[in-house]
Amino acid sequence: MQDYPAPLAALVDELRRLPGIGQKTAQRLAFHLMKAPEAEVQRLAQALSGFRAALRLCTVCNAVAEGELCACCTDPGRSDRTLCVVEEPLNLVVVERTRDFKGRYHVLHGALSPLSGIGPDELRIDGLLERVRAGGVEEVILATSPTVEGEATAVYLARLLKPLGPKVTRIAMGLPVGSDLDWADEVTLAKALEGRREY
Amino acid sequence: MWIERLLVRDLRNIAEAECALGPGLNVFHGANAQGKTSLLEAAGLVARARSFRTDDLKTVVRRGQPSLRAQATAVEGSRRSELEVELGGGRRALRVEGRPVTATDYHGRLEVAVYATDRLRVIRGSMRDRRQFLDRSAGALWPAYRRLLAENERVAAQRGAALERRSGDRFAWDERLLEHGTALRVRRATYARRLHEALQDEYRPGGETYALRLSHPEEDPAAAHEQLQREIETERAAEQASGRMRVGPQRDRVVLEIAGADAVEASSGQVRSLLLGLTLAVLALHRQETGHAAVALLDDLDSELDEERASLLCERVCAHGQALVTTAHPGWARRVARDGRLFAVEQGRVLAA
Ligand SMILES: Nc1ncnc2c1ncn2[C@@H]1O[C@H](COP(=O)(O)OP(=O)(O)O)[C@@H](O)[C@H]1O
Ligand SMILES: [Mg+2]
Ligand SMILES: [Zn+2]
Repeated sequence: MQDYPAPLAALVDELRRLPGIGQKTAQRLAFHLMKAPEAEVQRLAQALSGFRAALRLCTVCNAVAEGELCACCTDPGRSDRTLCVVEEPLNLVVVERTRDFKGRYHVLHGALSPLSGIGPDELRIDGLLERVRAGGVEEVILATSPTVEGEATAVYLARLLKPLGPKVTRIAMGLPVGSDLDWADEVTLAKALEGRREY
Repeated sequence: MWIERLLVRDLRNIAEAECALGPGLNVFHGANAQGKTSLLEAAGLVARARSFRTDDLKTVVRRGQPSLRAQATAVEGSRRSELEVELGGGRRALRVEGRPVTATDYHGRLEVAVYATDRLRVIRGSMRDRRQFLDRSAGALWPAYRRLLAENERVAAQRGAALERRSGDRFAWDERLLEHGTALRVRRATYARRLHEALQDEYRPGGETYALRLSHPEEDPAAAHEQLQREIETERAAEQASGRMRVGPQRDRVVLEIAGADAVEASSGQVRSLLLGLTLAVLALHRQETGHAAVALLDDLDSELDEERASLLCERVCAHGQALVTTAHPGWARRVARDGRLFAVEQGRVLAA
């Protein structure tokens, strides 16, 4: 393979580190940027260099915020009575997109995974307990992923939260919309049965 | 389900071979070390994306070559699909109709049941080999079983790490083990019971009784749940002290018996017969559950049976579906292959007779 000039090779190397981007995609992006108008490349460079400094984690819920508090925590239209717990800031964005949830959030920044050295102390759990202890929270919705790790995290949190008083719920896990019942495995099906509703 | 065409490239001593197989009996004969077992290995590789001889896939690639390819046209009724496995450089590529697919997507498109002396470790090897045989056979039958197995492995690994680190989230992993472990045990128990039943109706020379039992045969989910819970309680202190896992379906025992005695102590002839019986039972169960036959891969069949019995057995298996049979005896090969196809294997080349 032909070697690129050093600056191009450096860019390809950096792009390759990003999730979902392999050598080929990195090359394509790098060559695209090489040919793109100067202004476009400058905008990207600025966005990259500026965004980290301008962002921080909300001191209440750990979501990504521009200031001390995130948009959800400062929104007066939201209720303090319900807390939705998610693993990652991205999960919050996804729940928000449904526009159905009008409570507040708590972001754990991960899920329990002893294999990767992530125990309870590595997650932002203390802040969650403090918020609930402070009172006013009537329901905590555990919206961690339906993975082995996400489930374990939900079990862990439920045990800690229940004695503090609020109702603790788990989002219904089950069959993806449009999927065929024949292909569901029993763990998924058992979950879907557990989460059944009355008509 | 059967293999219409098998293409092999750079697998063990086979540089390149292509065979047009028949839907019934296919007999491969040749002297020792010519590549007969390797050819069956190739068929098994296309079906299951792993070798029945070894877990170390790089030893399967022909020495001096970067990669191997095994490809098959699988026929099911009027449907044909092109399956392909490529191994090399520590990577495994799976393709269906030439398009790359994930392992989850690949599995279940072609099923085989294998009798080969390399498989004797199912009976003589470690408990892990036995469990693996049972889990892989059940997984070939039920997609949900494969998923349960993968999740259980994950839970066991996480829980093991939690114990080792003595971290405070142990109870959460206990709960996960309880849910996933129970589901796996119940499914495994059902499969084991049905395999045991099928074993009674299949090959049993001299009418010996065969038995396959589990240390945890409970099929009722509530009872299995309670049992696992009790085990977790009982072992709690010991697990805490040692930082090691002592419970779970990843440790359960599979008992195989011949005439009431543990098969580990049986003669090698008896052990081979039991393995053959198990292979036929797997085939029968597959037929019962799916309504179609898996492909039988029977290696050196006539080293186990006398010629007449071997011929009868071939007839029986092929009444349901396809069989690929190898033998070192050209005479028997010619006689038994009268109703099927005959191939000669010589120095890694396969020639239709
Ligand atoms: N990775 C490899 N590369 C080349 N040859 C191999 C490799 N592995 C095994 N062999 C050789 O392939 C030959 C065929 O083996 P096998 O299929 O077991 O023969 P058969 O079943 O006909 O007795 C043997 O001589 C063996 O040494
Ligand atoms: Mg052989
Ligand atoms: Zn916030």
